[in-house]
Amino acid sequence: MMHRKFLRVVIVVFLLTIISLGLYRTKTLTDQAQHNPTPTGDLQRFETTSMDVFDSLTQITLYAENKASFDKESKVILEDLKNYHALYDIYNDYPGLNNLKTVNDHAGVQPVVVDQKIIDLLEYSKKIYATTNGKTNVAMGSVLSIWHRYREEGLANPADAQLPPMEELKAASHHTDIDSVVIDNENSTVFLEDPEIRLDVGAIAKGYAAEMVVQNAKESGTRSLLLSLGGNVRVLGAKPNGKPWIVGIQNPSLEDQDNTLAEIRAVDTSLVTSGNYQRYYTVAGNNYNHVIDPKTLMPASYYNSVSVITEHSGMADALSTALFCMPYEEGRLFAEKQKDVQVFWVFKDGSTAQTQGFKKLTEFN
Amino acid sequence: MYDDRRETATMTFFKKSDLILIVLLVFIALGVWWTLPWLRAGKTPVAEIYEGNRLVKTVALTEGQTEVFHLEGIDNVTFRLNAEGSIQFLVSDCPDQICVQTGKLSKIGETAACLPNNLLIKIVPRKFQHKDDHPDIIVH
Repeated sequence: MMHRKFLRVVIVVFLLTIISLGLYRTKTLTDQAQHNPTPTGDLQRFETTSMDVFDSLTQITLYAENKASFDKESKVILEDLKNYHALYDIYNDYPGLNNLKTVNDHAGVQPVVVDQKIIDLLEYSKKIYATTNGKTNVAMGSVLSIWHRYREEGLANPADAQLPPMEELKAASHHTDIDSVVIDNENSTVFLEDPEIRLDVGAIAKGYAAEMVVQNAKESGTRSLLLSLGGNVRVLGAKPNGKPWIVGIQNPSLEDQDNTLAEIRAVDTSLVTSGNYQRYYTVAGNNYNHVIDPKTLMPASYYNSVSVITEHSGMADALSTALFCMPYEEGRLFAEKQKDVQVFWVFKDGSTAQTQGFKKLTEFN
Repeated sequence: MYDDRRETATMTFFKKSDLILIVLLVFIALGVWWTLPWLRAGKTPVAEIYEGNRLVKTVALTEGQTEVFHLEGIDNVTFRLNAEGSIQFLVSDCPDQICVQTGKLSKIGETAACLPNNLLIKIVPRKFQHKDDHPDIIVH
């Protein structure tokens, strides 16, 4: 009997040891999963984030041969983004650099010699202005700066939050003519002829910069990359196994966050969303977002969000802003006229609509 | 006599039924060892909280658990783990409140960032590898 008892004790100890090892293995493997890449063929998946550029969260997911290769590629991407950020910044000066703030500061005074990246952006912005019938206008800085000031003050002192006077907005709107932005390619200069005009490239800069950076990465040999610049998503290629990237769109309303509204199968494309949920302030119980309709000079309020899918990230960014400022029927007609552009609207009541081709890219839940 | 005693002792330790039992239990234990991590991993995602690029806390989004917490040394930001298996920035002293207004996060691919405080919540798979049917990113 003693022997059998001993045997049982041995078995119990053995089992406990095995189970403890199993638990330890669970922890070890979970820890490894958080820090180790996911292999796909010869390439491995790596991710990194940064909060240093464009006042946004930057996420980089790419497939590389090894960690060293990933570090090298992601560092180049982040450095590239920092460069674009500094050039397109309208709030801060950088030693030895002429950026858009420099251009604004010299409005009506003299042309400013700038980097080709600024000229390229402004030329692209003029095309976008024509495409969107002025709904996306980088020369609206004088109006947007008033809203920016009132929003900052309202967030700092919510009890005293106010709307800008319409007279002030209308006066500023007389200084938003994009033809006053004179680009001299030969001398690499930009001149704002109107002393009171101001550039604000917030509706296009992130998307445009993301596009340029991804193109640079592609030229350097990157084949499989997802770059998100504050929710402006640009994917390069598919995953190495040929599967598409999956980009989910969620209702921005805090009351309805449970369901993902759509999942996009993305290959060599961009998805950019304009929404009302993050950057806003509250006056007398009403929320006022940061997307200002050039026609009304007030925050656009047709939708919770509008997402645009098209290959060029700058185009997606600009069109999402323009469509956010259009009533649905107008926006639908506008969207259907664009080549290779798909749109997903989320209305205030949570209902949705999409262009015909959008459905092919999605799996609805 | 000596040999007989040894045979008797051997029989006591290793009866046929005992051997079958031991083998059976060893297989069950090994099965538990191999499957437990996968069972525990399940589909429940994990929230990673970063300060800058440094992973400072990992929270399993297990349903039924609620917790309001701060990170060590960062008292100006409060996080909340919700019973339905989500996490959020509950309170922050940042001026724009974008992190708080992002709301609850529960799905793989979701993120919320508090730029002024250099904090990030990122929802990742609890399993060991990102799968092709996991969203790579979720936007609002």
